[in-house]
Amino acid sequence: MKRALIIINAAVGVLFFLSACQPKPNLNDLVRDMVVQTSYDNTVNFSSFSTYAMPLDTIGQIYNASPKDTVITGEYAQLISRDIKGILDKSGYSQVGRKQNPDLGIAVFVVRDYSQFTSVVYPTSGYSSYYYPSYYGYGGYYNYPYIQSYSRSTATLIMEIVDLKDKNSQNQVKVIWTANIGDVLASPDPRQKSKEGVDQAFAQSTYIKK
Amino acid sequence: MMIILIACAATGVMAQEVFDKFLSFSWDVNMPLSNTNFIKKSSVKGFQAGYREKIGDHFYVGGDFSNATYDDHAPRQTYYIDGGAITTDFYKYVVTYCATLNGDYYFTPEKRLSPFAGLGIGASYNSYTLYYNIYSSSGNGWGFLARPQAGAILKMGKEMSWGVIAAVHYDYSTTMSKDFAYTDFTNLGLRVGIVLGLGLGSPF
Repeated sequence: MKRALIIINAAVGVLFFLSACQPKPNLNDLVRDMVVQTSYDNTVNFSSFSTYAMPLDTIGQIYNASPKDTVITGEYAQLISRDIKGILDKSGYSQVGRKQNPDLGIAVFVVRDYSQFTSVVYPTSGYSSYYYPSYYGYGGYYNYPYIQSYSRSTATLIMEIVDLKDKNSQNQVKVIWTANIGDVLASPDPRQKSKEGVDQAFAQSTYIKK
Repeated sequence: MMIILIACAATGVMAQEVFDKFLSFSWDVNMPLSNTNFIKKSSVKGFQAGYREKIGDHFYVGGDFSNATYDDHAPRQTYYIDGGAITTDFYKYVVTYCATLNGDYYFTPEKRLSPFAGLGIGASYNSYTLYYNIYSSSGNGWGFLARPQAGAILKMGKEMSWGVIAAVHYDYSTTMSKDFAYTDFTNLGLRVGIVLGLGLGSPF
């Protein structure tokens, strides 16, 4: 009888232990590579553009904790911006100055700890293009669906291609391609993995070519 | 396998009744059958607890509660959709909680080994979670559950108030999730466990 009760107690214990092991993936496994999500306006013919403008060695920043700190410079900005330039040049586009009437504007920025900002979208819906109030005005309207992040400190690298030739009646320009790459802060190697993310974003967007 | 072992162990059956009332605790292994694009890996993280009471020569009624956790990993790849693409790996989880009212028919309740067949009707609650990098998407839902099952109880000797149980069950639940493309949730399960006699016929 005693033996039976011991067996029963042990079995019940094991069962509840198994059920209590609510699964969660290992964080190191999760953040090994960044998520790369791209979306585009499929009514746009990307080969119709020839020139683009983008700042080199500087990328923008939206950071709640430091709203006035809107620019990132240094090695990270240099690595990312020059990688993008290299890819666009290889794709047949030519970089020109902002005042040289470029066809496309390239906006690159990092969004940090922006509570309402959710950058990565599970692939269930299509793309809807949106307009910037002004090019290089990073505080424009964002219309991303809400997805949870279980990290308090987040940073997403964002690239946008803006059609500078197609302005609406309010003189707003249209964003025709967006790439969200994250999470930068959680990555064990933010620089290399961000660069790989940029490369992957263009690799999965084969329509971006002259 | 367990059912075969029970059958073998029951050689030399002696006349004695299956418990009038009993609790059961089982380890539950489940194989998902619906939407295997999301999760196709079998779950070994499950348990089932139940209570039965005799209401007739062969009939028992009671209830079961069970829990199972399914998980799967989709390696990093690029998914193309209309208007975009995403490259990532996905960690996927479905956790199910089921509660049923049950009726079972025991074919040979007077013997040490008693096969049974039964049906459970109740509700299930499922939660679905997808992890990718630091992001997650989740959903949940309730549904109706029907669970036919068949198995056997082997009482462990004349003086013992416990036994072992093994059964296969098929679960059909209407629990759905649009976000995770589940129109229902069905699975095939095998449970093995122990039975604790509580009522008349037990030495208690």
